Amino acid sequence: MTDHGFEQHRTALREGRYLRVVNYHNTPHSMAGQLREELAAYAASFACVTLEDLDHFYATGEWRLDRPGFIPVFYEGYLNNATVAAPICDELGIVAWFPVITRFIDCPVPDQRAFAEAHHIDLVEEELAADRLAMTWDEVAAIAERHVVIPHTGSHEQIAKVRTAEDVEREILKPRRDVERVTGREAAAFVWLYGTPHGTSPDQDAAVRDAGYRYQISNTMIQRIACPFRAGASPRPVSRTCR
Amino acid sequence: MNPSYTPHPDAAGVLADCEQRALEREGIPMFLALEDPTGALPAVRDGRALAEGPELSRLTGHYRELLRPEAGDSDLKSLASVITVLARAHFDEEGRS
Repeated sequence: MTDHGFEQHRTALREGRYLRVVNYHNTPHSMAGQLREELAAYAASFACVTLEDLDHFYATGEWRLDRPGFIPVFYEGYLNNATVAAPICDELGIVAWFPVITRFIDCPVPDQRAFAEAHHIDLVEEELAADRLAMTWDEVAAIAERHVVIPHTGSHEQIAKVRTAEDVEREILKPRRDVERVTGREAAAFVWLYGTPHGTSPDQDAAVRDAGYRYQISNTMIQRIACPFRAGASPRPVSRTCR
Repeated sequence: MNPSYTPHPDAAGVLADCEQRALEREGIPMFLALEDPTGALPAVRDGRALAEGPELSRLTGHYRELLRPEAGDSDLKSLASVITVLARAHFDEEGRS
């Protein structure tokens, strides 16, 4: 079991091991102005953290940033993340992270609302009648050119329901292969539904590690679960060794 | 203006406000811990984080005592609530300095 709790969180803060994150879900057109204003304010105060920045911190204990770091995170793979959030981030020079539910993206457009309703994917009222709710893989690829795209399971599944080899393939392994194939970049991190941390379920933890993910993001922390050169990790250009 | 890291005078009100937010469409600021179960994370050498972190740790203890005094150490739901209040009240503290 993970021993993360209040005291460990306070220790991490005290020792300087923390990061500012802003979690978003839907970013409908109706809120584009507010989102732009909010992100512009963050960008004025903070520096965006890329995967390489996070790797550097974990390797050296130092941030190579001129301001405190932060990550805006846009969850689920909503179409409005591609058509509203990503362009605003690009306009402001912000690098964001996009955890996507890969089977939501695979889902035929006529079935996307039913898929969302069956898989805890919240929709906003003004988009209930929209034809398409999820971004396409072409949009995922375009976003990955400037941002970090990672899997948020295959079906927005909770950890306790991933038990069989088929479950592991559908929710953990295939999502990583799909994201990497489409983006041509490492899918370095994984997020469970409800942000369950690493260290709560040995079998599922092993499956996530063995899939090659190096980080797991939860509601209260980012955990490095494997170093870049560990077996199973994707080959990628890294100019330093893992300590 | 230097960061003051003074506890918010109405932490319960901040928590109530956080609980009213529409999670499906609003940005939720958080302070996430950076952990390494592999045990390979070196000591932090970032001066800014080392200066601010102890203040955020102290405030986390303050808000826990005030808002979730009954919560056990491993109550991650309560921890998330307290971090949400911490972030809502102090996310921009360093950024304003």
